[in-house]
Amino acid sequence: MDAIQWENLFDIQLAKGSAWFVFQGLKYTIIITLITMIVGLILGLVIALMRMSSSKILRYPARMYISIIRGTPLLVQLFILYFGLPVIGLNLSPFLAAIIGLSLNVGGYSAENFRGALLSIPKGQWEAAYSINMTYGQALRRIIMPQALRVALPTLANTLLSLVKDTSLLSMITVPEMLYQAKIIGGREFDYLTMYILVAFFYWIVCTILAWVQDRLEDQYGKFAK
Amino acid sequence: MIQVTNLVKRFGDQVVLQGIDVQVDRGEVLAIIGPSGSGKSTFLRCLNLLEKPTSGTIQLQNSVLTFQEKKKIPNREMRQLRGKTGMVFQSFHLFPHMTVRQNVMEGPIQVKGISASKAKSLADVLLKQVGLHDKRNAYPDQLSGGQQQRVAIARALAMEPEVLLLDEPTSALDPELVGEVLTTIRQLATGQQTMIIVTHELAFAREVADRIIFIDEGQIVEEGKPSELFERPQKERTKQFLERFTQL
Repeated sequence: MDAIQWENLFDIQLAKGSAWFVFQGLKYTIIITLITMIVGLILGLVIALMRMSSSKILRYPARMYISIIRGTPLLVQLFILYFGLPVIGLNLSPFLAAIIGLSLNVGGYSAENFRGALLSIPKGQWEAAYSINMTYGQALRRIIMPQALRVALPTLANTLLSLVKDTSLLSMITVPEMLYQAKIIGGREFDYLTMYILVAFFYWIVCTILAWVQDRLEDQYGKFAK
Repeated sequence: MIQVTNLVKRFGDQVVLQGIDVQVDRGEVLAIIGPSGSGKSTFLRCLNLLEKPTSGTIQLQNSVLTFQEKKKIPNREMRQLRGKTGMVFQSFHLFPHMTVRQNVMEGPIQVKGISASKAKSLADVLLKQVGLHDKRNAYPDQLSGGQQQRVAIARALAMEPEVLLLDEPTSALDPELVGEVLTTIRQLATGQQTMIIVTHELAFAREVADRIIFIDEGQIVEEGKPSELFERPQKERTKQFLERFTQL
């Protein structure tokens, strides 16, 4: 075996020259993450409430949904949406397939986060809200959710960090996000290693910023706790 | 003002209330005493429908609800009845993410739709009444149990309930904190507030209540004026129960 060629590990000139091109992909990463986060969290909350409902008609579909999303690989879900659905005549753009796929995914995972958090709020809080004659919606919005969100925040933040990193899978369905851009240059310059290290660095920066935001949010929501 | 007729509550096979009839007049203070597990708390929780009665009728002024197994009561009617009640819980259940004043303002603003400034002055009046105006900007976990319970009373009063339901309001408190809560309740009793109090504080019940009901095994064993019930209990079961307490 030949000696390892350390000098090829990282080509700074290439990294500098292509950073902007890869950075272009960040725009997709951020836009898709933001849209997916909003849609996915709303979906997750609705699914969590359905899952906790006393009605079977609401509960069973929610359980099935969570089971399928968590029991199948995200990549397969994306392939079904983008490469599979055209068979039945449904042609989604890469961008739309990405939004739908990731939102459904975040919905499934955050539903369980929300459910756990909602269940952690003592029953007495619901009763106190009802005792001042709040409706279910008022009790949920004003009393239960503010407390549950605080409980859910760390796990939701994990789900969102995973989401940022999962956007790299979108390169497989031709969304020009960061990894996709890096692969183009890597192929052209025959230097995948530099490009993959560069793109890894970008993901790390984004996730570090998000973790910082998470800390700030936890401080904010933690105010009423000792 | 309140008329409860043949109220039954079952949890599965277990019968917790086996046909309770109670009447309460305006301004009256009714105390309910009885051993643990006798159904007295369940009865109170049935009155504001935190527990749905299995059968029977509850009338509170112009709200009349008749319960039957498998009969669904419209939400609107349940809330109409519940809106005439206020509840104070054994373990307070203040909203931990809100300040003391916000706890009191929450119901009037969200449920009654009154303006924030009116709700604020209402809250200030009530907090002065329970002696906690200086704590208005504190959070619940910065207060002692007795203070929390007084805030909970103010929160319930802010909804101007026809009847205030108190579910063992001092049972979760350290002995030295019981007094301040009882003082607050005593003040309400001398005012015109109609109250139903489930309590283990027999001396207090005797002092503050106009009438006392002794419940055991989901049934009313005996009821009467405090002096009658405590000094001349008619039923053997009542005597046993009262003796155990006076021996303590």
